[in-house]
Amino acid sequence: MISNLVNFILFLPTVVGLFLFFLPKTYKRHSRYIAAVSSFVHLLMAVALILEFDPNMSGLQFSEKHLWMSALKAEYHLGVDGLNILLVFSTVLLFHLSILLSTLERSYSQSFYSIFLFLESSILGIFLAQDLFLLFSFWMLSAFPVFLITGIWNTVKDAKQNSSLHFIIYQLLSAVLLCLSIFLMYFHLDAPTFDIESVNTATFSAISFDLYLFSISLDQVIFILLLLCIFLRLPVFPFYSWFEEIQEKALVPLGMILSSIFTLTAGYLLLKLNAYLFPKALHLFSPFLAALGLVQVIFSSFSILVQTDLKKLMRRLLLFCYGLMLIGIGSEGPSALQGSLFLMITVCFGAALLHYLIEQIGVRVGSFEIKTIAESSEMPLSLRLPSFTAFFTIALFSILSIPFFGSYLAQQMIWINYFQIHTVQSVFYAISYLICLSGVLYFFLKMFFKKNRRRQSLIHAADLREDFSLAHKLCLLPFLGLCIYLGTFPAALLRLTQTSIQVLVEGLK
Amino acid sequence: MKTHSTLSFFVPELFFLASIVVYMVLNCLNPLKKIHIRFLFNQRITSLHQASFRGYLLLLAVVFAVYAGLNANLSEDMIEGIFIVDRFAYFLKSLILILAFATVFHIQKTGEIHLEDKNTLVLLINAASFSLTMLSVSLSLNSAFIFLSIFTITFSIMQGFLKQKTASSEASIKFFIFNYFILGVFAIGAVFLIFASDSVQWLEIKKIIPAQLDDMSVLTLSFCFFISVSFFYLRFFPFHFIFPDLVQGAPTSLASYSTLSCSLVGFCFFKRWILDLFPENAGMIWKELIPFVCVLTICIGHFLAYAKKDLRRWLGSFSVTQFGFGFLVLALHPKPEAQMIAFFSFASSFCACFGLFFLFQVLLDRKQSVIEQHEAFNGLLSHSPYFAMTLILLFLNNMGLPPTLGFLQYIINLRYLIQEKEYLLMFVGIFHWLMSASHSLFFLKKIFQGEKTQNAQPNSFMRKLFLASFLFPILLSCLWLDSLLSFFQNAMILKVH
Repeated sequence: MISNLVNFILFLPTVVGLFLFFLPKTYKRHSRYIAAVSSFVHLLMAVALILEFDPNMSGLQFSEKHLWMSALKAEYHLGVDGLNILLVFSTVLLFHLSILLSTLERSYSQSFYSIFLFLESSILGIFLAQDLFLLFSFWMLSAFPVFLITGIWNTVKDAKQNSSLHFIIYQLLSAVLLCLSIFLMYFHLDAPTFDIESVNTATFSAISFDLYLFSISLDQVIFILLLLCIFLRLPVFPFYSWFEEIQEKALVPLGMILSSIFTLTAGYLLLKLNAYLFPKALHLFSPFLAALGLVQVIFSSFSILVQTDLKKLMRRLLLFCYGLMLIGIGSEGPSALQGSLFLMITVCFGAALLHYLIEQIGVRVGSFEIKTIAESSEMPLSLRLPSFTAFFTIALFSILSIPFFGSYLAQQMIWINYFQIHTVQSVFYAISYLICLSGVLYFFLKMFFKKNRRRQSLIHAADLREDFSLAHKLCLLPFLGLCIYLGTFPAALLRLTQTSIQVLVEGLK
Repeated sequence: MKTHSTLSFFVPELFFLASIVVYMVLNCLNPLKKIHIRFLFNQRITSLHQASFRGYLLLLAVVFAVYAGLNANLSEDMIEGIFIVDRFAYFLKSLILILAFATVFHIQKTGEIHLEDKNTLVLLINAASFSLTMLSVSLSLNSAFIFLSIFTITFSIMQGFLKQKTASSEASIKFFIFNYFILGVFAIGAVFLIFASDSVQWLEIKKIIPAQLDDMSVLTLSFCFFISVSFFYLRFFPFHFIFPDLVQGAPTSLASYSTLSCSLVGFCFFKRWILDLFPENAGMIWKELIPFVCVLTICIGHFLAYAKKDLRRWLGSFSVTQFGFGFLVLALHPKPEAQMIAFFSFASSFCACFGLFFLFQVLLDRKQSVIEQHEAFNGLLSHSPYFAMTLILLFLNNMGLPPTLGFLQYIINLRYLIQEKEYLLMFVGIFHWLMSASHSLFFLKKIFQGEKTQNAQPNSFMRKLFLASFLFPILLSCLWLDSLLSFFQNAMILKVH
């Protein structure tokens, strides 16, 4: 069982998804329970994986290697290391919680659950794949469940279905770029292979392209192609429009995944391929990455100030976090790299929780307008919905890097390193952070703690739904625990990533 | 050592020949006459043409099973007089049998064609399929000419048959004239070859062809003529404009048969009389002609398809680009690996187009109206979910979603082009990929959106199985890619004993 653990973790959602797809319609109402139970079993497997993982070992663990297509020299190669162990666990946990929360809200169809579980498999495949071709296949595959779900089920009736089309065009372009870069890699290695470990030790043929003012080597070309591929999935300024559109219309469980782990697959690729395979090119382009991150941070912090819609506000906040992650990777230092990886995990949980809570505000108030939410009740919302406010506060604090919450330590790890390398830019970052913080906290206070000056609620008291039930609280409790744990004493989790980050930093040196 | 029975290899030809005779007799009788027949354990009164259809389909399925089973162990290529027994012909004939089965099956079901015309149509399909199967095994210029002529005649009659619109009839006449013109081109090319070799036999001709063609020799001229014939049937540039016109007014089942059978003829001819006969390095002509034609075929095909409103015309143009993409790897040098990839691409494009054509047929039949526009897809997911899912998967295959056959096709082609450092052709390939994706997205958008125009149609288990059968080769090919590629490699490289 343990030897095949990664296989089970990868394929269990697909198998359950297929089972649900072919389940007779008479058992339709049971589909959500089947999905929830299977995801719980899946979570137990992920826990076993973490417990069995040896943090002192530098190489791959739980490796599974078989020949897949000899004609393409592609292998079915899976493995777990310090870079992906936490991401795999986060994926499984997030899917489990989103399925649990979705069962409390409404009954989704069995087809929805089957496609949703298929999405889980494909995201896990990206994290677990240790073969470039396999990784590319999962990369491409992961876009289509999102496309299908947003195409079939929409929260907002969009007659033209442009958001899903917009999304798939971006993802298709990203896949083509990834395909190009892996084949360029393959054919220009001294020993052609798709195996990531082997690519890391092999050398590229010394081809360079002379442009008018400068020449560019092949590994730099591949690095740029990979970077473009990543920027089409990670919402990065100016390529974030697809993210805004699809987030607006996605169903709650899908929205939770899209705002968290789905986009972070790109962040993982940045570490796994760009930083691990092309340390020299990363060193060359790191100022560019850090500058891009800073531009994104400044842009998002200012745009937060002018938002009137809570959903949009959250998306800009996420842009801010992704900008910080780029700064971390661009800073190259060991603590910055570890901080970036850690930031991915913390943002993952914070963003998913925040997305869910914002959707719940929408359900309760009937609008995402900040002004409408603030005036929805005669008394402040914090008194009307105390549990809800508590959860919202912790989720928001977790994303905002408030001390002892979520991404606080990650931000500190990145910022200190950034300050040492780019002192002037780090001051700009600090100012942007303060602007962002003050803007978000202002809106937060306005919505939840300010008294309604109109003294007349926009929504009738009877229409405003009750606070969270016990079931809701129980489902949200793991999020809460994680947000606080990650911000206070995450040493045990950081230890899991330590060895792989060391390897990465040594490569960069 | 002869390890294989030649007779079992010619089972499809014998079947088609026998069917032609039976259908000629049937046409002399009154096919609509009611007969009392116990058919498949159901005692019922039925008409002669219904009984003949069912008998035909049942026999065709048996023939396919027998033929595929008996020849599965075909391990070496043999020349028997003017015919060849090889894996290439084996695969091609299997495709023809499947195509004939699907077409006749749909003709039986469709309401597009009048009952009295159905028998005649099946007779023509039998004749065309017979000539196609014979063409795939012919190794003599005479027999190739005869079977190509039979195919052309039956095909032209088929196209002129049942055309109700004036524009469609004109397209048939245009096609008829072009067809005979191309037969003439083939005849001239053949005469040049006979003049140079003093023989009509493939083996004799092969012996006199040098390793390198001169720029202006008789052989070079015949090579050019043969390339034209092959490209005509493959519908490559500059012959791309004939076929979309042709399929517009025809019944959908005929449209699919005509498009796909023509591609089969073109590819078969290309393999037998160009790749196998002429040397690998056909000089500058190859390098100047083939890349140019392939790139133009892909680009023009996509732009034409983009402008099409009629579903069949769209698929006609789109399938041209699919087959053109397969030939991209052969564009500069027909190495054995490139030949294998081209064959694999051809087979996967055939699968994708076959599936799409057949589902379009079913869709247009279900609508029971004259809707031939994109609107036929509107809101399909809401009223026919299983059917829509099958179509969605076929479109995703066109988009190159892993692990579908389409994905493997794109990957293998692009991989080869990057390996050979053909970056310009690689960009054309990527252009094709993105354009195919955009076409598919357009249809997917239609399938998802739209109002529920009609009530959900119940799908029986058999119907679901039937729909799923289109997806088996598309979804499962990645599991046996190595075996598939090795089969295609063996089929493309002729090893005559």
